[in-house]
Amino acid sequence: MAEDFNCPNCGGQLSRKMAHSKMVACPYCESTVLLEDDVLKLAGRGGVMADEPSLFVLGRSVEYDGETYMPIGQARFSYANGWWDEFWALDGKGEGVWISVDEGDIAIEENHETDLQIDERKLKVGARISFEDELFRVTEADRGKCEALRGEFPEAMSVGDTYTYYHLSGPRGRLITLEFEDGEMYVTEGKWIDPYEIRQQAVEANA
Amino acid sequence: MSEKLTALNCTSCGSPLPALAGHRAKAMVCNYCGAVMDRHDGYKVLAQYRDMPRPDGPFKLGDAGQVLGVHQTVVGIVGVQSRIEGAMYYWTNYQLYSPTHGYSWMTWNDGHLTHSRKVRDGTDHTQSSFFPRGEFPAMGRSFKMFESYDAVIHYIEGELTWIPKPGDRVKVIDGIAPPHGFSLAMTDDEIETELQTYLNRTEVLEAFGYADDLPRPGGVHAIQPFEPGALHTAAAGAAKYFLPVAAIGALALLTLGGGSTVAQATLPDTATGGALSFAAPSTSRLMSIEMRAPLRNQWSWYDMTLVHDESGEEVEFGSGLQYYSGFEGGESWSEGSQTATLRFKPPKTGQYTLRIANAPLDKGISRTDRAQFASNAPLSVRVKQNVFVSRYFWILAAVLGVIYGSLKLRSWMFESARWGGGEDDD
Repeated sequence: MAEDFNCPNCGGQLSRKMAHSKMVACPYCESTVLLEDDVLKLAGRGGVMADEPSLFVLGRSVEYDGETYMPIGQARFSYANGWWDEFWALDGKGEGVWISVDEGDIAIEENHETDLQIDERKLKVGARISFEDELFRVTEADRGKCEALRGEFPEAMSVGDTYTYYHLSGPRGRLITLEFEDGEMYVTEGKWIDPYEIRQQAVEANA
Repeated sequence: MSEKLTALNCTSCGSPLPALAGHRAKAMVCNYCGAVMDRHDGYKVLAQYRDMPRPDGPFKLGDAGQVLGVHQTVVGIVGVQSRIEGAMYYWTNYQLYSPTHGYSWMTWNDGHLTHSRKVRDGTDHTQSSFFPRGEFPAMGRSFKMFESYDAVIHYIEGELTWIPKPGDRVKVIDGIAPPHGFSLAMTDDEIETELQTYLNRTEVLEAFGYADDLPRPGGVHAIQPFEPGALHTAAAGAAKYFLPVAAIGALALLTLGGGSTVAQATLPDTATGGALSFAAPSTSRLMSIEMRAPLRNQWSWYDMTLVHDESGEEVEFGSGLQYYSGFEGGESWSEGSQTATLRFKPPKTGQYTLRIANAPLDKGISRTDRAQFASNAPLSVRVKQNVFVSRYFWILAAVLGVIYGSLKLRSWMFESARWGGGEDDD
């Protein structure tokens, strides 16, 4: 059930679709608003997000492999050779997933809890590393910078945030993404999906 | 970040080049001077390949249209060759780019068009998964191993997702499940899996703004679906279900449709003739007159008159019998028959009289024919009612069989042509 409140900067009406979203980007004044214990705080600017062709649009659900996903947040990152979008989306059960979209390379990932610590210096493209008793290969390594934010997110994000990320490809199509930011490692696990199998649903009236 | 380069000049020769691909494309190959430039490193020239033979194919850089429902642009061209079982084969891969669906390939191969895209189906496919004529699961389908070969690049142009060079070699293993194919492409560094889809050439050419006035595709492509045409398919589909019905109907009529006897007699002397009397209860049911005479190298002709007793109306008709046999050249032979059956529908219900007698001989017939004429052979006559004829059901069954069989034959010939180029025994 959506929860409405007003932007502390411009007073515009904001809506939180997911109860545990911690950040909402105001579409009126481009502020980002942190929601902590029912207290609203201005966090920064949402940045300017140029419209680009995409299979994913905020408020328009998509179907893939029998599951529906509703994008409610969009973060755009730049990296050395271009940019990609990270969509925060709700699946059919209302659980949140990350969908990364980079020119038809699309992956759906969920947060992955692990106590494992990996030495970032070993993460070179082509290197093979062991992760949770399985052998993975580093297939991509780069540094991303958050350029723009729209919608709502489960965590605080800021335009200008930078982090290093690594894609690890493993057996049975396992995809692990390691993100390093300020010495902390964040892990997500998911799978690559075929864009030709994605079906867009009708636009919701209140999107 | 939102600004997009749409054209640039070759950093080697200065020729104008279109910039059509997205940021993931790594190489730009000048089609004027063959310079390979690194798009991710300021278009630095990495190598130069001159005088590459341009491959055959209808598309050029910048062509755009719908493929599999997605708007795609041709951003790169790669000519590929392979030696398979001693013969050289050539085809052209067009690198397609869609901002929403990314990079894929459209392949022009001897007039056939196919689309292929990189897929990851969560399975660890390896070379050992493929064995001749074996089947393997992928992408929710079952693929049959088709062939393996080394594909070698001989031409490059435009924007490509890797840094290419002529002579690059990929080992490919193809599985097929028409209209799809599933391939393993192996280099020293990695294994990629691709899903192929056979395309309707005319539709794609028209979508890209070209009329399909090109020569017809050669042979049968490995993943080309068998498409016999809607009419033949529908007719064969109907024949498949009606053929057993017709055959059962024919057998039923053959065994049960003989009718019941309403009159029978043996005429000892057909020269003087005789008559049978019978009742005809229906004008819509067939009746039959079965005749049998013990002829031996003889013939006979009988004039018959069917008289409706009540009205006196008559119908005249005739029928002959002839039977010859002998032994010649060490073999027995015979021709003709000692029996004959006439079928009719009575014009009226009621009692009928059937009069039968030999027809008088024409004066002009030969002496031999006159000598062989049987005027005194006894003739057995049986009249039946409620007779059914199975022959039409047999003809229907035969026609349906031909229709269904012709589709099966075409399918078999199509598959033979498909596998004629495939890996079969080893």
